[in-house]
This record gives sequence, structure tokens and C-alpha cells, in this order.
Amino acid sequence: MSEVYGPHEVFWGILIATYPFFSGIVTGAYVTSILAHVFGKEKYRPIAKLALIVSTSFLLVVAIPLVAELGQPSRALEIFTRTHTTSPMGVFGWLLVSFIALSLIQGWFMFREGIVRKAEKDSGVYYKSIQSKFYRLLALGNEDLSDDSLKRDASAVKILGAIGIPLATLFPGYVGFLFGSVKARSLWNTPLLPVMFVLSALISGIALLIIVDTIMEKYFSAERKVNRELIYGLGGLLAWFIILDLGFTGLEIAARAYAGEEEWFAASFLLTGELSWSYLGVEIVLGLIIPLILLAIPAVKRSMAGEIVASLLALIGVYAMRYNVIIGGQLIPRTGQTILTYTPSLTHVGTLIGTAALALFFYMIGVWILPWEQSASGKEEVV
Amino acid sequence: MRFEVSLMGDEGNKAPAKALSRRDFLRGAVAAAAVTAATMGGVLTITSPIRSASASPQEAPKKKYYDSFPKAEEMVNRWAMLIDLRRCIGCHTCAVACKHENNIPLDVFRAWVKVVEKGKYPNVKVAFLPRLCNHCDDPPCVTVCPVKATYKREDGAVLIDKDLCIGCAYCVQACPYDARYISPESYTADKCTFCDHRIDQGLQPACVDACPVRARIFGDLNDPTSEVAELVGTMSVGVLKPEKGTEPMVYYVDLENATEGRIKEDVIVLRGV
Repeated sequence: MSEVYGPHEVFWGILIATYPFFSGIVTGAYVTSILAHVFGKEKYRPIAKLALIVSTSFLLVVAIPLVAELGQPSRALEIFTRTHTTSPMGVFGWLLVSFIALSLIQGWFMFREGIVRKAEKDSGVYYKSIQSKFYRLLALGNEDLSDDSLKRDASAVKILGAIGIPLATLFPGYVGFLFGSVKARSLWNTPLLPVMFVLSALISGIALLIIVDTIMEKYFSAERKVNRELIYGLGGLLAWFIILDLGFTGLEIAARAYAGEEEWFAASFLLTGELSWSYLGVEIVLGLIIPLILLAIPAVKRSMAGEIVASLLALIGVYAMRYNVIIGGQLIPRTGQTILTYTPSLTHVGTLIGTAALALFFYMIGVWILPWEQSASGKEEVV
Repeated sequence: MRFEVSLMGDEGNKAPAKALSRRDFLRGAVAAAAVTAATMGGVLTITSPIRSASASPQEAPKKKYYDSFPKAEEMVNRWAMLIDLRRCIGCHTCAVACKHENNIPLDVFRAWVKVVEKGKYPNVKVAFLPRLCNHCDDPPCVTVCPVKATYKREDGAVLIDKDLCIGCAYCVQACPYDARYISPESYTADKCTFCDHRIDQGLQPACVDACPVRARIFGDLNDPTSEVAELVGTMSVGVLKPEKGTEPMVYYVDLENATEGRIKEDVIVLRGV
């Protein structure tokens, strides 16, 4: 069997495979952030501000892997000047810009009270008065801390959060749709893909927040004590989303078994083919089943170590899902006779490490400047 | 402090025979500029390609379609190709001619020949499947381009504007036939153009001209006297992956020979043998 000369190459490599991982964290963290303010789940109010910082830090860098993968990155702004509305990738530019604007504005309303309190607290000593001036600048002149003003802040956050839900859902959703609508690739072509991307986005966001919140509260907070009820609550949410994700994954495989030869080849490629170790081993067992078991055992769930381990495994599993779908999907030939191979280039891996580092940098600036701490009672704690 | 500036050095007091006043200098400069501008304008207008293009109405650019694609009746020409697999001998001359005509870079091909070994010993055969972009009537590649860099022209050819393409490779992913690639030279998407530089002049694409056994027939489906219209209309023809709904414009005679009776020409053959 010989195949001659057709273009058979993995064109979307690890840069594009990791991009939905970052954008999933953006959405998961954002949804966690609005659980209290929009959905009224008061248990999650203490993490709302930290979650928004995590979400926005990744949101600011999420476009970097995409632009790095372009053949002509200097023309990237054409997606704004020549938007093709039938293309999910064309619409993405506007989606990103709107979501960034919304996150920043919502963040301002969320943090305003803390910023003003910080400005008032530190005025007096010279360098502290520079700090105070900086915070007054951040408050944009609105330093009213009356009940009415705070209520207006809360309702602004609620409205923005409500607008943010469809934007945040579209963020991994459009990626899933981008792949799911490509009828050329049998592993991608399913309407379930947007749903699975959104679910795994929520899983990755919650899992990362469990880890980040534990570290921040244990080592960087005023009380050096972790809010256990919050973490256990997040762990429970994580477990529910894992169950949903497992359900849809099973549904996808089952649907492919009935759909026909080409679809089933894609499914069997994942189950028994070259990527089965990554699919069954990492994505399903390590990333979904083991965390679910860990979170289901009450003794493990109520221990911090159990939550952290479950979250780490879930994050790894979500990354494996992105890799398997995006790169795995390209390994199956369309008109060729041989399964392709792919090795990530070190430059691309370097770009990804740099992107994550930049997100970490934004995050560190965010938690350094902004008053992210909030006690369980909801009253502001000034750091 | 006052500065005395003199163009003449120390002999500033002794005025030369003809002193150039500022007014005269300015007059002369403006006159020189005007003459230069007029000359250059005249030269450019006479030699400008715009003038020669507008002189002949056939040079008017053809309409581009990005979203809804034209129906057959609306199109002036409707370029299509017929490939007779009974004639193909697998010599690959079409692939070489295309490479040569379009200066295709190394490792990528716009036209190629798929060599299929079919059957199980002792009933085996080698079949040849010449491949190129199918210039589909409902091209999935055009729908997904985020910047409208690729389009379907009103005569049916699907083309790429290489100055607009950002190289995102979405169209490369969307093509069910592996017809597109990212050019290692221009870093944009690229593919077979039906040799638009040739067909616009009334010539045939390079692969069609080069084929020694006349396995490739190219022409206008809307012209009932053309050979391709006659053959597509009367012969038993097939297209690749019709279930994808792309409406390809490349028709094959005796397609089952190369695809073992199943139109899916990829993984089924991989698993079936």
C-alpha cells in the first residue's frame, strides 16, 4: 500500500492543542467567580475575586499560542477588518475582545470596594500615600462606600456576570464548534464536541482554582488558614462535572459505534489504536475516573491532599482530552493510507511555557495589587 | 545676539554680478517642480497598466463568492474536469507538469497521483487515482476562512488571495480531500488553481496538457458543445466523497476501480485489505 505525495501533515500542533486548555481555564475560573454573585451560591463568595484574577490573567494571554501558529501573524488583525461571519475563527476575535472588556469592567466593580478601603487605610506615610494615590486612581474617582453605592456595585456585577455567562460559554464552545463542524475530520465531526469542550473547561477551571485557592489561603492570606468548606464545595462541583463529562464521552463513543465505518474507525483509533494509552489511560482513567473515585470517598474528599490530587489529575486529564481530540484527530488520514505521526517542536513548547509564565506574571501582579481576600462572612478583609 | 549669515563667505559685502533673490529662487523651484510633475504624470499615465486594463472590457475582475455560492445557471463559465481512470497509466507526468508550471515548493503538491494496491493475493491490482483540488460547488474551505482570503470565483474556480491569507490553516483542515497545504515559501494556504493564469487566457491547465494518454479532460460544463459537458453528461461518472456534500467539480470515470467499490477512499481501504 503506498500513498504518494498528498499533503499529509499535522498542521495544528501543540500550540493549537494547548490553546483550548488555557481558554477552558478562563471559562471555568470565570464561572466559578460568578457562582456567588450571579447564581446566589453564597458558599463560593470568598473565591469570587481570586477566580476572576485567575480567569483574566489567562484571558489576556490566551491569543498568544494562536497568533504564534499563524503562517502570517502580522496579518492577524485582518480577523477584525475582514471578519468572515460564517467562520467560527473569524467571530473569535470579537468574542475575545468583548470578553476581555467584560472581565475588566466586571473586575473593576467587584474590586472597587476593596480598592477604596485600601486607599483610605494607607494614606499618611509618604510611600504609603503614593500607594494610596495609586489605589484612588484605580477607583476612577468613585470612592463612595455607602450602602447604596455598594449595592450598585453588586447589581453591576450581577448584570455583567449574567452577560458574561453566554460569552464564557461561547469561549470553549466556539472552539468545540470550530472542530465539531469540520466534516473532513472524522474524529472531530460531532455536534457533541462543543458540549464536551465546555464541560472539560469547567472541570479544568474548578480544578485549577482548588489548587490556587489552597496555596493562596495557606501561604499568602492574612489568617494562613484554608477555607475548607469552600474547597469541599468546589470538590463536589468538580465531581458533578466529571460525571457529566464521563457521560458525554461515553455517549460519543457509543454513537460512533452505531454511526458507520468511518466514524467507528475514529472511535477504535482512540480505544485500541496508537493513542489509546493517552485516551484510555490519561484522559479517561487518570483524568476522570480516578478523580471521581477520590472525590466520592468521603474520607478522601474531606482531606486537602485528596482534593489537590484529584484536581491535579483532572487538569492533566483535560489537557490530554485537548491533545487527543486536536492532534489525534489529525493523525487519522483523510485520503491517505497511513496513520500520521507528530512530535511537538521545542519552539512551540517554549512558546507555551512562555505564555503560561506570562499568565502567571499577570496573576502575580493581580494578587499583589488587588485585594483578593474575602472572608467567608462576606465582609471585606483588607490586606 | 545677531547672526550674520552670508552665502558668499567673507566677500558678503561684494555682491556678485547676478544676485539670486529669494523670490526668484522660489519662483524657479516651483516652476521646476511643476514641470517635473507634469512630465512624470504624463509618462506614468501613458505607461500605466490601469489604462490598458480599462481599455478592454474582458479584463474586468471576476466576481468572488465567500458565502452563498452561485448556481450553475448563473455562471458564465463552469469549469470542471473529467479524469478517465481507464486511461491513466500512473506516469505522474501531470504531477511533474503542475510542479513545473506553478513553481511549487519542495514537499508539497497541488496535483498528485494516488497509487492504490487493491485486492488480496492472488486477486491483486494496482490502481491509479490522479488527485487535485476538486473546486467544489459548495466548498467547505471557503466557508471557514476567517478573513475571506479564499473564494469561489464566478467561473467556478476556488482560489486563494495570497496577500490576505493569514496562514491559520483552517481551510486546510476543512478540505475533505487533502487538497490544501500551507506553502513553506509564502506561509499561506495554497492549492491547485486550475491554472487560472492559463485558463483565463483560453489555455488548458498544465496537468491536462501534459497527460500523455489524455486521461484529463477540462472544459466548461455550461457549454453543451464542450467535450467535458458531453462526457460528464453521458458517461458513468463518480466523484470523491459525495456524502460530504461538497459537490466536487472533478469527475472520475471508472472510480470504483481505485476505491474498491466504496467511495470513501481513505481509511476503509486501509482496514479492508
